[in-house]
Amino acid sequence: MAVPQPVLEPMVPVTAKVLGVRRETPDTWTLSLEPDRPGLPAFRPGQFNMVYAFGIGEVPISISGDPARPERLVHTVRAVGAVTRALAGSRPGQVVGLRGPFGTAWPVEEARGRDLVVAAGGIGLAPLRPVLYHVLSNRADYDRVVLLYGARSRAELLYRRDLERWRGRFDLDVLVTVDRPDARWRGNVGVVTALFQQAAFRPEATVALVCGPEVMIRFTLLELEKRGVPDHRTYVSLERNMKCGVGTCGHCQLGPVFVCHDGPVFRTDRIRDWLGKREP
Amino acid sequence: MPPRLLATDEVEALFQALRRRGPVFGPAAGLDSGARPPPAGRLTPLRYAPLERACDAVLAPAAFGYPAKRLWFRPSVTLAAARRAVPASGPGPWEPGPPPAGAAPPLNPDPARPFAVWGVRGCDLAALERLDAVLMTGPVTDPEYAARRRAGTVVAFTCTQAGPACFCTATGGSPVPAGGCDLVVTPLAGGPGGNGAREYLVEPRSARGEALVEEVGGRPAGRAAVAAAAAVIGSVRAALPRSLNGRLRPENAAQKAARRLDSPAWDELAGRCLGCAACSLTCPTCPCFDVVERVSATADAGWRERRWTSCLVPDFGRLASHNARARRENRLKHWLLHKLAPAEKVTGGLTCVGCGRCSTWCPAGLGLRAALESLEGEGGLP
Repeated sequence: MAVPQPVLEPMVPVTAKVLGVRRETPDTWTLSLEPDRPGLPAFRPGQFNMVYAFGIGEVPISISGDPARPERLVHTVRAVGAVTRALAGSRPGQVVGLRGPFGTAWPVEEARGRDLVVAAGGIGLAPLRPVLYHVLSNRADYDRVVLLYGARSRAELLYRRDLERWRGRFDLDVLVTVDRPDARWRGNVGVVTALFQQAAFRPEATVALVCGPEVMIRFTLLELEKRGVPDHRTYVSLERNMKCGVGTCGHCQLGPVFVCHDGPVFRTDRIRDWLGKREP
Repeated sequence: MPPRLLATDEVEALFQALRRRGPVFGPAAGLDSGARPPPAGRLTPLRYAPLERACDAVLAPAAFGYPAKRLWFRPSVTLAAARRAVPASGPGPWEPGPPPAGAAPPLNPDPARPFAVWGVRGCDLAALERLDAVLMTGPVTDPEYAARRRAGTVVAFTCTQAGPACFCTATGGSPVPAGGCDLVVTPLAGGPGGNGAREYLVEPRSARGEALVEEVGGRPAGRAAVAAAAAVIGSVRAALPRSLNGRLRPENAAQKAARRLDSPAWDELAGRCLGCAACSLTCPTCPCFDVVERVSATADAGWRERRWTSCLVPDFGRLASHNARARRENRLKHWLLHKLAPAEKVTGGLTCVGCGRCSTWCPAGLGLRAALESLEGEGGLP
């Protein structure tokens, strides 16, 4: 297949083949992609790609696969807009565009030897799944590991197979809650922050990673603070509109930082002034 | 090379030397062909157009015209082309590749073609430095912008007159062009804007600039000429404000405004702002762009375009799920705080270069300084 005429190198996607599409929830699909051009840089947990449906548009989507298998790029997409709907409807063998990987990563190295709290809300689990893959492949490097995950309902839980497998392990605490239980739900009910009561970790030795809707992030940070986890050891991943992904176009700016380039993963104390403000 | 003194005809020779290398753009009055003239009495901005003679350049204060940034950072650039795929090879209607003949997207002019820009003011030159930090020396280099920066010769002019909206000195700037350019020209005596000057002090700032001056000659500038230039600059500087507003100085502006993020004064300000984005589209430092998908009239070719946008446009921060800056108040706050932020890689300067275009072209009479004033008036700024 012909390559796009390169005009602006950082802005020109490479083509990637859709290997598989898997429905996760009623409105969320996971795509496995294989770039046509080998030698793309390996990704680190927390980074994202700009994924392009030709003729429709491009969106930043976090990479949610195993960082030890960088040749296959896994993206979980919630069909909420024109581009994500098109991507969700793609079929194996089809071609999409890719640019990346972009952005900062979760501090998996810095967290070594410490307790790790991973708190996710809804599709916020997608950028955190590579962390869990990494941690479980290097389990001896970390002390206690706790996953706190909240979804709106049982049907909206992502990565059911992973969650069930992880819950079967003795070296990982997996706590899951839903806002709206149905008759078949036997687990926790309520918001993610309620799960902290059951979570066993040592606040003074903990690194916490948080991703979800901004309101969930806000309350989770409050809870972590209340439990004594210092804000220089809590990290959040933020979502913004992005057009370039490389710190140029201005769309994702939050105060002085570019979410695409200085983030999406931020150490909380570095953006504290800008969180929870009236849409700065 | 020490400064040289050029007479009017030698300046014209300099201009023609540039023209032999490529088109020379300078601030010009008049409208694009086909554009409707404005209602009587209404001002139209000067725009950078290819000129034939040096004296055609209208050397007015910068705020009277559009910024020169469009010559390097073009309003729209084609990023990639695509053709219609039947059956579609991807989830979208296109596949990458050259579009069919006749349906081709507008091609980008060769960015490496030499050109020159004549009559750039100190504020616009400072703005170019800020654009460089974003598009060239930042995290990534925009190849198109970088090629144009290399291809363009910049002849900057010292201001001989402070415009009614000028405040470069309050942002850390100066009426004397500083920073990356090839030549700095200071008109020594004569009428406003230097058009009536008979002698010009010319300082080369690059090897390219030196070669140009060698070509046209002139004579070494004596002490009197340097003193005459200093006098011109001194009188302009005296007419320029030293602070943005009251006690708001470049080094404390961003901090003070950021401390008032939750002030109700922003709401009042947003009530007067029309959200038209004229301020940021005429701003020489605004680098934001959008990436849009375009379709040919026959729908058999598509292309992606990078084009200017503004953070004041409602869709700027929109995500599929929500809008990160849904209210005009927040967009205005974002714009103002960004302009007050210290410029990257520029010591002691703000992102704003004080050209005054935002206040000149704001239909609601706002602009950066008026906005600050209203914040202060509302008890918004200390």
